[in-house]
Amino acid sequence: MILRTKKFTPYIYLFPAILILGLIYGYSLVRVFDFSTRRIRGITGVFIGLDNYKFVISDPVFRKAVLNNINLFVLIPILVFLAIIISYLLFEQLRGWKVYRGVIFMPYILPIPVVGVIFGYMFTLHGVVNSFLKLVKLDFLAIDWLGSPKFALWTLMIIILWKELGFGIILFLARLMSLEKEIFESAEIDGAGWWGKLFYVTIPQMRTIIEFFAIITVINMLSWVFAYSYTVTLGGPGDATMVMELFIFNKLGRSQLPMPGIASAASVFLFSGTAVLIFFLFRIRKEIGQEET
Amino acid sequence: MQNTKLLNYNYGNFFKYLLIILASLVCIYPLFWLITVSLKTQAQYLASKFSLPWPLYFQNFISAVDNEKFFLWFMNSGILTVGSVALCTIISLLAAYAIVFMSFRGKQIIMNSIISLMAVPIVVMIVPLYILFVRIHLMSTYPGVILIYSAVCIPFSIYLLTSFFKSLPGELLEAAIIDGCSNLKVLSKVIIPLSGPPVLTLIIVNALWVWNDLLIALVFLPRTDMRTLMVGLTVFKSKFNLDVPLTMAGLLIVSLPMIIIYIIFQRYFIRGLISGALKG
Amino acid sequence: MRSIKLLRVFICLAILFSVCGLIYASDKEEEVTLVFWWWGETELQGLTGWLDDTIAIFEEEHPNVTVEATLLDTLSVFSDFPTASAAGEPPDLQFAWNGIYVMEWAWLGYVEPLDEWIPKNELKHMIATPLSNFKGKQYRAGWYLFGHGWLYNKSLYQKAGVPESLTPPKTWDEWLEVCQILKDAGITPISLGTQDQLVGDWLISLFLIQQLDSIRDPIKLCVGELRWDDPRYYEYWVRIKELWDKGYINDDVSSLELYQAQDLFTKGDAAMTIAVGTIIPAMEKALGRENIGVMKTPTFGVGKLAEKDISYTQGVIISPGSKHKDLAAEFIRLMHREDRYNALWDDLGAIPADDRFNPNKIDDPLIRETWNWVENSTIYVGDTIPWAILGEAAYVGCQELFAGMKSPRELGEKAQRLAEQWREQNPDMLQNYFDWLEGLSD
Repeated sequence: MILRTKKFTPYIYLFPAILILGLIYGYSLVRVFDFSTRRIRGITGVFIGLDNYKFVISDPVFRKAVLNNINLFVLIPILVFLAIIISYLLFEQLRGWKVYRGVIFMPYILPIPVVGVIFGYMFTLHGVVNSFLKLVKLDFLAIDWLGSPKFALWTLMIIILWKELGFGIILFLARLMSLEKEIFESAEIDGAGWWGKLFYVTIPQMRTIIEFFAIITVINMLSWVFAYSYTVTLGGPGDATMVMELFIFNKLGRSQLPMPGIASAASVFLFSGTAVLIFFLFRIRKEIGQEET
Repeated sequence: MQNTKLLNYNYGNFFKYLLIILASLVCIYPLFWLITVSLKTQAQYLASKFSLPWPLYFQNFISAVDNEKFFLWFMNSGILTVGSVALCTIISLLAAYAIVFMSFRGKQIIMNSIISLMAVPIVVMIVPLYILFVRIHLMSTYPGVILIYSAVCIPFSIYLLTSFFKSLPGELLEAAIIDGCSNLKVLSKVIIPLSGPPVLTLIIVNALWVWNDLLIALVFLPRTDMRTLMVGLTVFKSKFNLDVPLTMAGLLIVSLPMIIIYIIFQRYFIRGLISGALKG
Repeated sequence: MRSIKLLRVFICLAILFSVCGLIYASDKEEEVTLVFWWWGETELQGLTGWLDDTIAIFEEEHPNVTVEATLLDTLSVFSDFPTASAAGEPPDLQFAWNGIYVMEWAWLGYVEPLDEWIPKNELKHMIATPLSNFKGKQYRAGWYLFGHGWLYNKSLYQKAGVPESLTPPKTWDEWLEVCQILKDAGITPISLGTQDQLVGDWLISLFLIQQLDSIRDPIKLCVGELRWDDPRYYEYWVRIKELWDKGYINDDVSSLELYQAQDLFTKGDAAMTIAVGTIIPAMEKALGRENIGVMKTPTFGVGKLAEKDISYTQGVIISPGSKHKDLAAEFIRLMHREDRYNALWDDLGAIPADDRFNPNKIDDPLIRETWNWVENSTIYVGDTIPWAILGEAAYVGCQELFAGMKSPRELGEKAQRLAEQWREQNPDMLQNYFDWLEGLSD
C-alpha cells in the first residue's frame, strides 16, 4: 500500500531524521578524516599529512589495544556455544523455564558501570571471589584477577560474558520457537539423542542467526567495550586491558593538552575496521529476511 | 529395556536442571550479592563479605539518596532519557512512515545508509562532535546531548518501525484515505494507534540504552552539576567507595528503574531486542 | 495560506523579542557575570563553602557582578579549558595545577600574565612557585598549598617494637629496617594502590626528586638533554621495587585504588601510607592525633635535591579571552585578602598560598610539621613532565612495576621512548620548553 503524495512530501517526513543523522553522523564522519590530518590545538590546527597515522601505528599502546580488541574475539565461540546450550535447554521448557529465562536475561539489563563496579569489588585480591575460593579450599585459583596482567583481560572477558550472554540466549530462543515442531519430532523418531538433535537438527536450522549474533558480537568487541575497560580497569594494569575506544578517549580527554588529531587517526582505523563488518552484516540480514518469508 | 531408558532420561534431565540452575545462579548471584551488601553496615561487610545481612540495615539507601548531587544526577539522567526517547520516537515514526507508505527517489539508498549507521562505532564520532559542540556552545547542555542520543537511537528505531509497518494490512489505510484523511492524520489516527507494542518496545530499548550510557555522557557533560548517574557513579566512585555498602546501595538505586521496567514490560523488552535482529 | 499567516506571526514575534532583548541589554549594561571553573573539593573537603563565602563578599562589594562558580571534576577540569579557550568562550577564571598545566596553556595563548592586573607588591605574596613563571611574567596566583609526604601510625610502630631512634626512619636503610620489624610483627608496613593509576604521579614526584641536582633536570629529561634510560634517572623505580620485592607493600596493591589503599592506613591495617597534607585533619579524627606522625620520604638519593621536601601549590589563572580581566583580578585579590586567607585555615584547616599568612596560627603539630616542609620544599616533579610522557611513564608505569610487567630499566627505556615520541608529536611546543628551562634557576 503506497500513499499518493506530492513529490516532496516524503522528504518533509524524512527531513528531521536526515537532519539529525546528517549533523551527528554525517558531519562527524567527514570531519574525523579532516582532523586526522592535523595537529589540532584547541579547535583546529596545522595540516601535517599522515603524521598522526604514523604516530598511532608506531604507538605500542595502540598496537596493544588493537591486539586486545582482537583477543576479545575469543569470547565469540564461547558466547555462541553457551547461548546455544542454554537456549536449547530453555526451549525444552523444563519446569519453571520462564523464571530461568527472566533471571538469565537480567544481567543484560544492568548498566555496564554498575556491573563494572560490582565486579571490580568482587575480583579484588581480597574480594568475594577469592574469599569464596579459599573457603572451598581452591586456594590455587585465588589469583589477582584484575591486578595481574596475565589474567586481567580474561577477567574482563568473564564480566563481558556474564553481561552479554543473555542477549544471545534470547535471540536463539526466539529463533528456536519459530521453528516447526515437526523437525524435532521426526528427528526423535529417527532415534536422535539430545546431542544428536542439537548438532544435526537445531544448529543447522539456526545457522544464520548464529552468524548474525557472531557479527554483532564482533562489532561490539571492537567498538562497544569502552565502558567495561573504563569502569573496571581503566585499561590496566599497564596496558593489559587497553582497548581502541579507551585509547581514543584518553587522547582526547585525559590531558591538559588534548591530542584530537591522534585520536581522530585512531578513530579512522577503528571505523575502517567496522566498515568491513557492516558489509557482512548486510549480507546476513538479507539471508535472515529470506528465511523469514 | 524400558527401565534403563527411563533411568537415562531422568539422569539426563537431572543434568539439564543442574546446568540451567547453575547458569541462573551465576547470573543472579552478583545482583543478590549487591543487595545483601547494600543492607549491611560497613563493619558487617568487613566482617564477612558474603554472609546474609542481619540485622537489616536500611540507612545506606537513605544516605545514598540524601545527597544533593545524587538527586541532581538522577534528574539529569531522567531528563536526558525522556527527552532523547521522545525526540527519537517522533522522528523515527515520521521517517518510517514515509519510507514504508510513500514512494520517492533514493528510498533504498536512504534505508541502507540508515541501517549501516547502526554499526558505526560511537567513539569514532566523539572527537569531531566534541570540537563542534565546544564551538557552538552545546557542551554540558541538555539539547546537545539529547541530539546525540536521539541520533544514535534513530537508525534502530526506524529499522524496527519499518519492519512493523510493512506487516500492517493495507485495507486499513485505504479506508482512512477514502474517509479523506490527510497524510498526517493517517499516521496519527490509523498507524500510531496500531503501533502500541512496537513503539513501547522502542521506548523501552532506547530508554535502557540512554539511561545506561557512559561514553557520551562522560565526554559531553563535563560539568559536575550536569553529570548523569552513570558518570557520577564512575567518576566519583573512589570518593565514596571507602564505604562499600553505601556504594552498593547507590548502585542498586541506579539500576532499579531499568529492573522495574524490565520486570513489568519483559515481553516487549525481549520482543524488541529480537525483532531488531530477526526481521530484515 | 494558513502557513504564510503563521509565518508572519512568527516574524512579528521574533522582531518583538529582539527589540525587547536590545532594550533589556542596554538597560543592564553594567551587569557582569564572572565565570570561574574550579576544582579542589576532591582533595580539600569544604572548599565549596569557603568559595561560596568569598563569592558572597565579592558580590556584596561589587553589586553589579555575579560570580558563577562551576565545580568541575578531576576528569574534565583540564581537558575542557583549552578547548573552550580555543573556541573563544573561556571562563574568566580557571583553577590550575602548576608547571606544565599552566605553561602549555600559556604558550597557546590561553593564560593572561597577572603582572598587568595585580599590583606587584601584592602579586609577590601570592605564592605560585617558580614553575608558574615564564619569561619574567607570573601566570598564576596560588590558592592553597600543602606538604606532600608520608603518614605513619605511631601505635603500630610501638606495637611492632620499632625503636624510638627509628621513629620515623630518615634514611633508606632505616626505612627498610622499620619495614622489616613491622613485617615480622605481622603488620603491613606500607599501603599503596595503583588501580586508578593516580599514585604514579605521587611516586615519581616523591622519589625521582632525590636523584636530581636541579629543578631543571626533569625538563631536561623530556627535551632530550638528559636521558631517562640513564640508570640514575630510573633508580627511583629500583627503590620502589625493593620495597615491593621485600614484601613491605600490601599484596593487593594492584587491585586497590589510591583512596582504598589509604583506607588501609585509616583503619589501622597498614603502618605507613603516602598522602597529601590536606588529608591530615581527617586522619587525626580517625586514628587520634597522638597516634599518627608525618615523615618525608627517607633519603636514598645522590642528587643535590635529595634532602629537599615536597609541597604542592594549587592556583588560579585568568583567561585573556575574559572581558572582565580587571574584575577577575579583583576576585583573586579578594581570595588573598587577610580575612579570606585566614578563613582557609580557620574553616578548613588548609594552608593558604599567601606568604602574609602567619604560620604561627597553625596549632596542629602535624600540619605545622608539613608547613616546615613547605618552607624547605622544591618542585613537584609531576608538574614538569608533559602529560604524554608522565601519563604513560608514571601513571601506567607504576602499575607495570607492581604487576611485574616491566623492570625499572625497562621503565626507564619506556620513558625515554615516550620522550622521543613526544618531541616528534609536539614540535610546536618544544621551543617553549627550552625557553622555560632557560628562565628557571635553582
